[in-house]
Amino acid sequence: MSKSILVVDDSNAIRQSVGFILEQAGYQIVPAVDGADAVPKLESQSFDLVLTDVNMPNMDGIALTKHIRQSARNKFVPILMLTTESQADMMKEGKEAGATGWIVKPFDAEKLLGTVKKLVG
Amino acid sequence: MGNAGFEALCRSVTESLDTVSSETEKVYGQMGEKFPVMVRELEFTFGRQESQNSLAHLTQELLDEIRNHEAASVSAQGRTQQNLSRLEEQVGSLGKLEVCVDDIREDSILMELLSLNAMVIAAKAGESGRAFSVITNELQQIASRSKDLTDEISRREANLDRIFSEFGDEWTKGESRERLALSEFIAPIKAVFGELKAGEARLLEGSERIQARAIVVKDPLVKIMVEIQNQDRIRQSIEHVTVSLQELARSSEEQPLEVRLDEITYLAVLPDLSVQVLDEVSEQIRDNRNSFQKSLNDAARLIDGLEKERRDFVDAHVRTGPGSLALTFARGEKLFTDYFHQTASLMRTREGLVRKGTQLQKNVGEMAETLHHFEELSASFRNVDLASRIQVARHSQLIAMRDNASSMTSLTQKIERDVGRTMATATAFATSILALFEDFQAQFTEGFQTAERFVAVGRRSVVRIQETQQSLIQSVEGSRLFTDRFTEQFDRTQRDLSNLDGLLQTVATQRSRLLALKEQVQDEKNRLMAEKGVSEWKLEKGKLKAIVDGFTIFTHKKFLADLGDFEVEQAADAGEVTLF
Repeated sequence: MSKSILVVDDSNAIRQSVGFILEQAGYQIVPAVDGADAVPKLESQSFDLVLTDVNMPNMDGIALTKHIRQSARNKFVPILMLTTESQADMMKEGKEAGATGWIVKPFDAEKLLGTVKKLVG
Repeated sequence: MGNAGFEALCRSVTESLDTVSSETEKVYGQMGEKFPVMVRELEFTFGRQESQNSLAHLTQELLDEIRNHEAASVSAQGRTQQNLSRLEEQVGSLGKLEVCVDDIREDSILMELLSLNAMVIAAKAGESGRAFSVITNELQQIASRSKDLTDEISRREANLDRIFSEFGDEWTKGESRERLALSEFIAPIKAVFGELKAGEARLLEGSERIQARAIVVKDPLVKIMVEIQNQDRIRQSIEHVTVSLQELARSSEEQPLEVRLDEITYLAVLPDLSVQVLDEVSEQIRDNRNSFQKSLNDAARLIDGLEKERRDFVDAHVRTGPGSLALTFARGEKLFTDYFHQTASLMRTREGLVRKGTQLQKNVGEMAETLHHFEELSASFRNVDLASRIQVARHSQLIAMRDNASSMTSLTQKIERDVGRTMATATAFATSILALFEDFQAQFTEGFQTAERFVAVGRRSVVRIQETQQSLIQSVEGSRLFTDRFTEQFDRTQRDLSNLDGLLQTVATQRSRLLALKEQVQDEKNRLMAEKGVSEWKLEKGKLKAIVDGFTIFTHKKFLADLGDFEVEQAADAGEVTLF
């Protein structure tokens, strides 16, 4: 059975691009438009990875990460932040919230896949 | 122009840039929807034509039928040999019958001589020999009829002998011609089938090879899918410009002059930032547009090349090229047609021969009927012999006839035995020959049915092979490497790209308007500085830093920090991955 990845981003283009690349690699993708949209999905399904943007309306990526780490389900899921934010203080904030890693947009497809494979298999 | 003028201009620029943002989102989003579909179409295309080798399967089925037919022919050949041996044996029996008939002939001649002698004795006996004379006369006639009958039987035997030989020869010849026709058919048809199988394999392998190569078209499509992520950067960049313009729009004339000077000095920086960001946006769109176009061109070139390769391949292997499926099949079809005609002709010949066999059976029957006359004659001889012996016993004048009568009795008895032997030989011969011809007839019927079945199966198989071959040809000729849906989506994407050109024009227009705004802001600042009586006013960095904090793209932060002459924290490069 293919591994499932929750892709959270308010940008349709990012969801499409990331979704396509990961689907081509054989992963099953569940998209969410922001943190608030992701929460019920996280409650109803277990994921092998969460890939989330940081700056989003309703609930941002940092808040979402904190929420996941406090939830019963998916508590230990790897979380990759995929964002244009690239400064150390933001990355530190993400790390403290419980993120597993940080990828700066625009992403390199091979690096993204390599990182996902490393975390998910 | 006062601050109210900034506000109107800012709102107009913001609206235009929002349009750029939403339009790029639309164009990139459409590609983001279409390209995965196109990639799936490509994958569907590659998987749809699996090699079935149906032509090979059908030709193998027909080859099996041909082998069965060949085996039936060999078996018939063995049976013919047996029947021909039996026929030869029967022709030998005909010789035995002839010996029997010769004996009867000799008996009849002797009886004729005895009758002549008796006639002389009867004449000498005068009145007493009158009745005897009648008897001897009768004896002479019976003997003469018997001799004539043996001649007729001999003639019939000779006739049968000749016809049997002819029948055997013609049957053997017919069968040889059938074998020759079959062997002349089998070798080339096997070769044709081999070529058909190889042709099909070549065609399928070639098609699959070209289809497998078509996967390269996927690469530029995947590249486009990776690049559509840049719309996110375009959107964020425009948001940065919008945030800056909102700041400009909020400036007010109701505040003290110093505050307004701080404000205008800060605001004067923002058009530069906006122009810089719009330049980045333009560059991004232009880069993407060029990259998309290049990828599409690459894909189009690959598609054209592959389609041409496929067409050339199909022309060479399907219709016209030497060894093409169509030509090979036509050759095979002609071989079958010729063989079917030849088989029909040979079967007609064999049917004629079987009719001849029926006539032969009739001839044998007639001969047997004729032989029955010997039994009647034999009975007549017996009656005459008895009558003769009575007359000899009754009349002393016929004393000279005693020895003669005794010989007549012996001869009559011999005739009876010879006739009995002849009848037994003839009956055995007729029984055997009838059974033999029934076997020939059965063999013909079986052979005819076998041939008829083979022709029927062959015709059906040829039709199936033709249909399969045509279906294969149509499938290879008719199917395109790229589905209509793929081609349609591909063409539409080309059209969508031209929308990006329009957006670039919009961005360029807004950039000009921002430059005009910059001049207006500078004029306002100059006016306020003149009002204050100063020639320069230092930038208050607090607000600038607040805007920088709100930016999500490092290059924009850095640009604004450089304008404000302050530092921002270094950042990771785009695409960089950090695992904690």
